[in-house]
Amino acid sequence: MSWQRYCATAEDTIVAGEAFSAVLSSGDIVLLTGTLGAGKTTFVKGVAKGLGVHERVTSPTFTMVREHRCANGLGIETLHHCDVYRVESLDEVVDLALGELVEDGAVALVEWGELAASVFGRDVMTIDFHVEDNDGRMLSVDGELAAARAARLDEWAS
Amino acid sequence: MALVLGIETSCDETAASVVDEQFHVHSSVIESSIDQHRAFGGVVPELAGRAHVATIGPVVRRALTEAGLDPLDPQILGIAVTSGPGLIGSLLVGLSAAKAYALAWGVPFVGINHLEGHLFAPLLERSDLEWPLMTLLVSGGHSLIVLQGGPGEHVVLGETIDDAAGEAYDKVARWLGLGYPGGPEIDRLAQSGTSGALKLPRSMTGDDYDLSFSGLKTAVVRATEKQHGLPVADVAASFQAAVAEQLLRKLRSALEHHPVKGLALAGGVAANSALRAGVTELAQEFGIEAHLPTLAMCTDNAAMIAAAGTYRLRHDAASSFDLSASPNWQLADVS
Repeated sequence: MSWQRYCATAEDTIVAGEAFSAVLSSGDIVLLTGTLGAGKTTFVKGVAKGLGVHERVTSPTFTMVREHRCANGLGIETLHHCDVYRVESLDEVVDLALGELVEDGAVALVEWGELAASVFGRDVMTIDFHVEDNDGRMLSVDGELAAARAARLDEWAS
Repeated sequence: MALVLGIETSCDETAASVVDEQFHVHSSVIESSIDQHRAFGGVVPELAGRAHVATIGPVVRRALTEAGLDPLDPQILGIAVTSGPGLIGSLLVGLSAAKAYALAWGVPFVGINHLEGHLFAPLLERSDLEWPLMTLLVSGGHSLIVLQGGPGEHVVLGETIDDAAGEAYDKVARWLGLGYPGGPEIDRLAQSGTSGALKLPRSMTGDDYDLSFSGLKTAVVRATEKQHGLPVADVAASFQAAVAEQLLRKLRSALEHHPVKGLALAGGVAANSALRAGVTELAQEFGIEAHLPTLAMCTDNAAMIAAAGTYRLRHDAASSFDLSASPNWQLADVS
């Protein structure tokens, strides 16, 4: 089962991210995949907006993990914005212990998540960002965790 | 003479340096693990952490010895160490070492913000600096325009809303199949390319001082996907020109609204030839002095950390031993 949503512009991608915050529950891990410049960080800006993050969300490539405090009625207090672009081996992802970051009250969005998928196990969602010929972006959500969020994703994709 | 030992391990470089209260550099040792990272097209955090553990002791000993001090019992005023921002594993190596030395030698230590360290770099090369100063701080992890009223006094006017300038350079270079770090490679190729060959968008045209490089990066990626056979030199020249155009346009606007005595470059991207030429020209136009640091001072080093530490130890309290590393410490939060 997979859900899709088309974004014509970067602004659309932010709106899609903002709406996606309503799909999330505390403890969720979401892997973001797709080529350079496909809109992964832009999407996270939108999710952060939806979760009530007030500070600026920028690329986490340099420090690999940025932690943002959230203010919302969803029971999600912390957004971990991760990026494994610079990681070259799975051992290093294990060392980063990203999974352990996601304790109660937190969610994690992991850019370049395809590099680390096996470390997180199956209980995750994956959002793939595909650049279309007209420069729009097609977002596709799947994974076991996505199936568990089917009703919310139906709403998000419509 | 009051000497301060500086320690810097926030990213690739393991560095130690001894600086006095007049900001004279008595020694500056830098050990880079960049050769190990080059094969991977970027810094590998785990490699960086391990490399720091292996080199921190010898690097500190060499810095003390070269400054004419006894490495077992140096007579110093205190220790300054980068405690953020940076890679958590790398920061912890320097911070733990600083605490251990401080305990052993019975001297205070102070945690320094890496970005504030960069702001002290011009003082190491010019003792007669005139304030205020407008500083463009651009590196692999950061891009900011900072107004400096004096040492330790800074206001962040603008910063990147997405990627750092150096990060965009590294990512574009990796995309084009060039080496790491990306800056020098693109700069070298750009010399033989035509900067108008690739039409790139002008970004951040608003009247604030914030910066953005993600859109440029994406535009380069999409254009090279669509137009096969574009000469790499032309792509490099076009990208470099677009980055410099945005930085210089924002700097010009900052100078128009905030009269200063000097314009300074800091951070690793300060080595970029287009940026150096542009900043020199801009300073001339405004009749102010351009401060272009030598390559050794614009890239990561411990002398700048020691200089910031000299100031902080004189004006503020030392740090306590429960200080922890702050991987995302913002310059605006330095008080």
